[in-house]
Formats: sequence, structure tokens, C-alpha cells
Amino acid sequence: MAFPRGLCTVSRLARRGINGYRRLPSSDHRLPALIQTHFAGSPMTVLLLMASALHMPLPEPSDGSVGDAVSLELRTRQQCIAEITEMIHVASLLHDDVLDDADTRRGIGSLNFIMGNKLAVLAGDFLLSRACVALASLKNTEVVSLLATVVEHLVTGETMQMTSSSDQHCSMEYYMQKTYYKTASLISNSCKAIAILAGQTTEVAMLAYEYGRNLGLAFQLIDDVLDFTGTSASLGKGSLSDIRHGIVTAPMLFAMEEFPQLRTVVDRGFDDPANVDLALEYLGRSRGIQRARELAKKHAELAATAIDSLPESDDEDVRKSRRALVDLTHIVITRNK
Amino acid sequence: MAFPRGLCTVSRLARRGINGYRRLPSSDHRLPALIQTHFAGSPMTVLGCKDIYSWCLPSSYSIRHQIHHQTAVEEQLDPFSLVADELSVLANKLRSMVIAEVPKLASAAEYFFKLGVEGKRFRPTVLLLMASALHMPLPEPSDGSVGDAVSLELRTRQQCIAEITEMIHVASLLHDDVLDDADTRRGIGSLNFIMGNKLAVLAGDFLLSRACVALASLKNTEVVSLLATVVEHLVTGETMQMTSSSDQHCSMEYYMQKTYYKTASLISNSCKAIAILAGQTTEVAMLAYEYGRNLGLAFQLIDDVLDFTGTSASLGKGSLSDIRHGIVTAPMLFAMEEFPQLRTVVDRGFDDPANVDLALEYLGRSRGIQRARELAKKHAELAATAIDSLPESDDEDVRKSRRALVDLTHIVITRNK
Repeated sequence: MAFPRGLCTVSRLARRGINGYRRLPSSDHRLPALIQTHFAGSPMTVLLLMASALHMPLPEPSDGSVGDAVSLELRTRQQCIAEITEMIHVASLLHDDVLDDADTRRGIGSLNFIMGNKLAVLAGDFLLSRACVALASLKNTEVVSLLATVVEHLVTGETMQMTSSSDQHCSMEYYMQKTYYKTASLISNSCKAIAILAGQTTEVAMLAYEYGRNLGLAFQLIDDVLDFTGTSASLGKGSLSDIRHGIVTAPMLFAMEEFPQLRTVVDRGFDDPANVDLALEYLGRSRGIQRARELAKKHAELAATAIDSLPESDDEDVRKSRRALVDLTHIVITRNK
Repeated sequence: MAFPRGLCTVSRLARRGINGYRRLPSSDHRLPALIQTHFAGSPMTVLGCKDIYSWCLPSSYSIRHQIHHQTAVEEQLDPFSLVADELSVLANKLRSMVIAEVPKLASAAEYFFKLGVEGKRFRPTVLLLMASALHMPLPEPSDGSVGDAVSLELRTRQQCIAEITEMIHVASLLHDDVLDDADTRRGIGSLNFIMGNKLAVLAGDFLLSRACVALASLKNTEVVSLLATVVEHLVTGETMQMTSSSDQHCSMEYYMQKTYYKTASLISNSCKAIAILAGQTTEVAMLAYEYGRNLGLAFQLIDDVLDFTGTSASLGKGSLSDIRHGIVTAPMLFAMEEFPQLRTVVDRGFDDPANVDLALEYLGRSRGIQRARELAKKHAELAATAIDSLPESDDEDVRKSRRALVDLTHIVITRNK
């Protein structure tokens, strides 16, 4: 089946990302640095590491081959989860861009501008349908359910963001729920799926889920901070893209708790740059940024705890991957971009 | 998932009715006439089935003696009324399955499942009839209860396929309308027109995800695979339609392939899924598939014709929506075989109404419409043959459903709208 050029491009980009990660050897000591460079919001790395972290190497049989075959089969299936997750992730980005005037999306230019609204819809559908087929091929209906729920959550989160009332707009609870749906659900549920495919217990599956959930939340909270501060520590040097799109994030919500009058400013909307400046002023005087960082740190620690709570393993690859997962929880909160 | 009390009641009554109906001794010679009496008239009457259900309840046995008709002539049943009650239950279940927690999303998702807007529910009708047609009633066990429970479980699962199919179908409609800039659908504003493109896209994704969750709950990986393939086909078909080159645009082969993907795949693969859930053999599953495929193709071909002719037999009285969207369908493709110069007209596109008229003129002089009808008839006959090839059954419900499926193949090609 010959697909039009545009769709091939999308598909190729997604696959390139996927293949790149697949070739990372799990015993590579450059892993943490590599991860830092490539992580950039992609769930792939986390999932592949989680697969290694939950690996239960079989005792060596006399010829080693059967054990290897089983391990390889499992690994392939888990990589499939990582690919499916990436496809769902990219599909949701494409669909979120419909009518959004997102200028850049991960630096490659919004597909929207390159090819128009319609192709963005079609490309997203294409990826979702491929994800469905890949999911079906795993022959595990629990995993199908998990990943289908992720799609539902992504849509719900985006709709929450699009349609919030003035009160919801300024509610920390609403914001955290929306953030779970839009960011954390994907990674938490796919981590859980990795564990399920590995035949792990419910407890271990929940630990994998908790890791993903807390990592995702920590990631988003820092993302919110960086949107204000950018690579510097000071305010207003970030792209300010959230606030310009009228999206009220954690730092601002915390600031509103300290300065109730900020609520009036927020309610006016942010079309007027003067209003943006005013809000930033309040933010600067508040502990909003610090509190957001503290909350991120709390979630990062919960994520690390989840890994530490996994059943012990003597296998060196397993331990290395677990360390890498814990390292990720630090990277996520100390990164500058 | 917790269903509201009312829904459980409806569901229970419907199932009791179905079971009662099923227990009718197939040797009751008054049965065909009874059905004839009750089904005369409008297609969507709920009354027909309900009366039979009440007839089956122990308290209403005296009604039996009021039936006078003794003829065994089997007149044409309305296929839609055979499953009308079940469809109502299904519709309610569907509405509950698409409830979302965000109000805007909820209203978007249920937009086309609202009362009155559901469409003819053609696909669920076919699937429910297929389920009945493939029913293998177990020999009566000593207490009858185990057999019933198994039958009921299976029926529920097959109903779920019908629900899933409908969700996938509506999801694809929502996205297609965005892709086509449509402003109406099923006689009301299209969702993208009413609530915006983005919400329509998101609502479609939401329905798809709910369909997948329901699919997973059936715990049958072959069925999951089948319906996942359908999703892929729907996208492929739409992509083919949006991105065809000039040559592909005018190719009958490309058109038939696209039509399979966009229209026939959903119904063929879901028919096959029904058969698989029923534990049928591969051969029977393939016959179910062939029925759906040919029915779907026949349906679309007549749809193409009606877009030109409308309710009259003459040309140009239809909505002409396909041609105005630059979509070249079977009648026009056939006409191009007779009049190669029509190709030049088609290549110019149809933004100019004068070009539309010119193309219609060629079409009128050609045998395009007739040949499209003939092809539809051929596929309809293949569909009927598939049903006739099913392993014989003595069960009267099974035979009735099979007749209804065959009747559908006639309805599909003789309809005027």
C-alpha cells in the first residue's frame, strides 16, 4: 500500500525514534547521558528500561537456547508496547494540533502548518490504527484495555484543557487531574503493560504503574516551571507559551493561593501582554515556582521509591536498569530544558 | 460498569423475551402466521416483538387460543422488525457506553447516538440477524437452565460486537466529516460544524478507545484482531479517497478496493467476528464474511447510483454530492469505459457546475447507471448464496433469520433511498 508522502514522513520519524532506542544496549555505561539527550518527553526510554528492570532471567538450562528464545520473545513484545505507546503519543500530538496554533512541536514544525489540518487528522488516525493492529498482535486483552484507556485519557485531558470553566481553570485539583490524563496516564499505563507482559504479579505491576505516574507528573511540573524560567533561573525567560495560550499551570496556581487578587488577573485572560506581565510580577513575588519544584521533587521521590520497592534481583543488567530508572527521576527534576 | 436500574430492567425483559421466543416449539405451525400478523406494517415497530414476548409469558398463555390464522405461507418479513426490540436495548447500552466525564466530550461522543439520530442501524441489524442465523441450539438438557445461560452469554457477547461496530462506524463518520468539511450528517448538523473540528476529532478518538475497551472485554484475541484490522481499513480507505492520483481516480479496480476498505470491511469482518464468537467453523466464518462483504459492496454501489438518480429513476435528481466533492463513483467509471473523452471532463474536476452537467450528459448517454445496478445485483446474489450455503438447520428462528438476511440482499438493491 503506497501512502502519500506526508504520512510516510510521519511514520518514518516515529519509527526512527523507535529504532534508535531499541539499539541501546542495556549494559552501556553511557546510558544515563544518552537518556538525558534523547528523553525529551518521549516515553520510549522509560519503557525499555522498565522492561529490563523487571526482567526475571531464567536459570541457565543445559543449552541456553530455549531460555533465550523465551526472553527474546518477551523482549520483542515489550518493545512492541514501547512502539505502540509512541504511536499513540504522536497521534495525540497530531490530533491536539488540529486547530491549535501550536507553532513548534518538538522543534520539527507542526505538521499542521506543513500539511494542513486534514492530513494531521488522517496521519493521527493512521498511527492509531497501526497501534490497534499492533496491540491486537500481542494477544493480550488486558494490555489492549490498558492502552485503549490511555487514548481515552489523552482525549479527556485535552478536552478538559479546552473546555474548563473559570473555576476549574484556577483549581489545582482540576489541573492535577488534567495533567494525569494528558501526561502521566500514557507512561503509567504502558509501564504497567510492560509488567503484565512480563508475567509479573499485581503488586509489581502496580509499582511499575506508580513509577510511571509519578515520573510523568514530576516531568510535567518541571515543564511548567521551565516554561516560565527557560534555561535561566529567572522568570520570564522561558517561552511563556502556556500562559500565552491561556493555560494556567502549577506555578501560577500556587501563586494564586498566596495572592487571591491574581485570580482577577488570570480571569481577564492573557491576550493582553500587559496582563501577562502583571501575572508574571505576582508570580515572581510568590513562592509559586519553588512550590511547583517541591511538588515535582516529591513525585520524583515517590517514583524512585517505587523502583526501590521492586523485588530484589541479583542480575547485573536488572540492577543497572533500575539504577537508570532512578537516575531518570533525578534528571527529570534537575533538567534545564 | 454499573448500569442504571432502568437499563437493567429493560435488558432483563428483552432477554426474557428472547428466551421465551426461543422456547417456542419449532413444530408450532401457527408460528409463521403469528409473526405475519404481528409484523405487518411499519419496519421499526417495537409492538410486534413485544406481543410475542408477552405471549410467551406464563400468564398470557390464554392468548394462544385467540389466534385464528392457520396459513403456513411465509410472506416477506421485515428484517428490521425481527430485531427491533433488541436494537432498542442496544441503543440504550451504546448511549451508556459513551458517557464521558467531561461534559463537552460527553455531548460530542453521544451526538449520533441520541434518540432519533441513530440512522437505520443497518449494521447492528445485520449482525443480530447473523447471530440468530448461526445459532446452534443445544439439545434440551434435563433442566434447561445451563443451556439458557450459555446461550444468553453468547448473545450478550454478540450484541457487544454490534455495539463495538457501531462505535467504530460513528467514530469514522466523525473524522470523515472533518476531512470532507461536511456540514450535515443524518439530517442534522455534522459534529464538526456544530462543535468544531478539534472536538469532533477528539470525540472520534474517544469512541474508538471505548470500542477497544469493549473489544478487550470479550477476551477473544482473534476478534480483537479482526476489528483492529477494520480500523486500519477505514483509515486506508479514507486515505485512498483523499490522496488518489488522476489515474487511480479513474480506475474501477482502485474504486472497488477503496469501497471494500471504507464500507464493506466493517460489516464483513464483524459478521465474521459474530461467527467466531459462536464457535463456528472456519468455513462458516468465511461464509458470514462473504455475506457481509458482498452486502456491503452492493449497498455502496446502489448508494452511488442513488446519488445520481435520487428517488426517481432519472438522472440528476439525486443530491449529486459525490460528484460535487470530486468523488468519482461506479456509474461514472463505467461511463468512462464507454466514452473515453469523459476522462478529460473528469480530470478537469467538478468545481465548475458546467463540467458537472457535461459529465451527467455523458453518464445519461452511457449504460453507467445500469451497469452499476447490475454489479450491485451480482454482489447481492453472492451474499444470498453465502447464506444459502450455511449448514442446514431445523430451528425455525435460525431459518427465519436466514430468510431475513436474504431479504436484506433484495432490499439493499431495490431501495430508493
